[in-house]
Amino acid sequence: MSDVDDRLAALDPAAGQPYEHRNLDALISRITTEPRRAARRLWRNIEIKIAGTLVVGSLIAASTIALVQGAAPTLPALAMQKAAGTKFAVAAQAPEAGPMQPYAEYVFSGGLALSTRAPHSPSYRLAIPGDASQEAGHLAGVFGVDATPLNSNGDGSDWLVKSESGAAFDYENTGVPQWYFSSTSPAIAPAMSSSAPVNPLPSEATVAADAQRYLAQMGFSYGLSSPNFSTSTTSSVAANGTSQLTSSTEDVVFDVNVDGVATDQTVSFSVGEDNVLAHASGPAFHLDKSYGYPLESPAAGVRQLNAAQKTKFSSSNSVASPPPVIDVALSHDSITLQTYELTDATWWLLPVYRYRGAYSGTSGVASTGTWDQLAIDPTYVQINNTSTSASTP
Amino acid sequence: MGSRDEDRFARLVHEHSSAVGSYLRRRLYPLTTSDLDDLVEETLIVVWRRLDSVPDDAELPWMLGVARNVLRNARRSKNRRSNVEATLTPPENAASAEDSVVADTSVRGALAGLNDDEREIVLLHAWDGLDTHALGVYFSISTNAAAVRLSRAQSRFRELLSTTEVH
Repeated sequence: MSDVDDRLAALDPAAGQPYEHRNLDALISRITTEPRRAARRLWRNIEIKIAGTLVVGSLIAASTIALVQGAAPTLPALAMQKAAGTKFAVAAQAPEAGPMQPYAEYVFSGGLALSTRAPHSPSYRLAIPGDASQEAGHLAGVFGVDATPLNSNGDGSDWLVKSESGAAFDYENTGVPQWYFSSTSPAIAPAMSSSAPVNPLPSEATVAADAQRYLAQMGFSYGLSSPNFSTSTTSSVAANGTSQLTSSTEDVVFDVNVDGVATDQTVSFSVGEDNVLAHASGPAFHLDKSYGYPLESPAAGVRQLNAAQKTKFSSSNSVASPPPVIDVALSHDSITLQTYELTDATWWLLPVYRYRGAYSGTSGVASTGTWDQLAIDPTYVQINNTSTSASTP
Repeated sequence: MGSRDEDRFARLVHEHSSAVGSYLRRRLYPLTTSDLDDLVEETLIVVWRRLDSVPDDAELPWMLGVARNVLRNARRSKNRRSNVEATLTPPENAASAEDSVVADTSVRGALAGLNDDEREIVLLHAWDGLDTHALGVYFSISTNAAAVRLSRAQSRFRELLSTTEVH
């Protein structure tokens, strides 16, 4: 038996492929000229890339352009932003080499478990707060952060409100705006453990009630459901590397729901000792109007899932060998609402089927998984290759 | 910030960006390699903003601590967008990220037997090359405490490995 350290080192996934940035000098120059708090922009990039993957994964099977023809003339096509070409989307279609990439072509079957009848579920156009500065000030006030919002990026995309006590409220005005509250100024806390709480914590019921109270004060027209509770302990670090402060919080993450249907948005609250709010975050939107776009049936949605798989692998020219084929027996479907941006820059919550099914992986191990597919009848969806035209209600 | 700060930042980037990138690559899943550059840049942006806090005698572990947070937040973002789990995340009962890259089944079994904290410190030492002083900075504990924690985790790993080896 070889030395244990050698055996571990031999399994290092980064061994033999040390990371090298393409242009460090350009990177350094870019960072040192960035305005303060620009870091958040990258987060949005990552989220947007992920959202782009959803659009591609859900809609690529709808081929090019589907026109609305008479079925419901009062409902123009939902013109989607072209999302293909994002880095994330490319990765999802043809994962780069590496042991951590799931790489397989799934063949879905629904059988009798999935209905051939289309249900009804409204689509919602969102009303995004028009004056980001005013909204940031209003929401910050709900959390007791009273100060003038500062346009931290200089382009209106990020508004920061900081109190003299160190509490901070951040309002990201990109896409569906997101708000963040912290009882202390944003700081890096490298150490986070799952150890036992170091201070008394409020009950889950108390934390849930706190969240509902804050939400009511913020005045958004969405609800909260499916709370997921946990406890975390965080240690902040002083410059000399010694431990500075360790505290625990009771955390809860809710699904944002609209008319009882869960969305892809979440609201989180972290509450510490003596029921003091430590952190909170969530989306900022109101419901503008609902529309009764027809849905395809869950069974029809499976056909689109399969078509998307075929398109994914037939369009890839960078795959050296064909992917393993995995048969998935879908046994359950439900509807969620997920955010989409249309070409006219409006944001919508559209119904999406979330399928659940079982399969045997390439190693023969039985597994379960979930897959999403836009539920809107494809004849009401228009995928544009340009970003200039739009046809929306 | 003046040119002195920029010089120090440039030196940090040139000396440590490769190690930071490798650290992130080892723990990237369920994100993808297409995100790696963004994660490195995100980490370096934080380093730039908090340059005064970077300890002179422990620059790399401090930066890895930042990378750890960056990665954690990115995963949270990904989790919020659970609608892509069909293509980017493993099924519920799939192996963990670190497990999935381990081909040595005995080592894999032993690693799986460790708790998260034990596995993290063992791999930080074995893969990222952090010594006990650096581990202390990374975990914000004393060097002695880090040494004890590492020793215990390694002992437990060896113990588990001995039980999973095929004799």
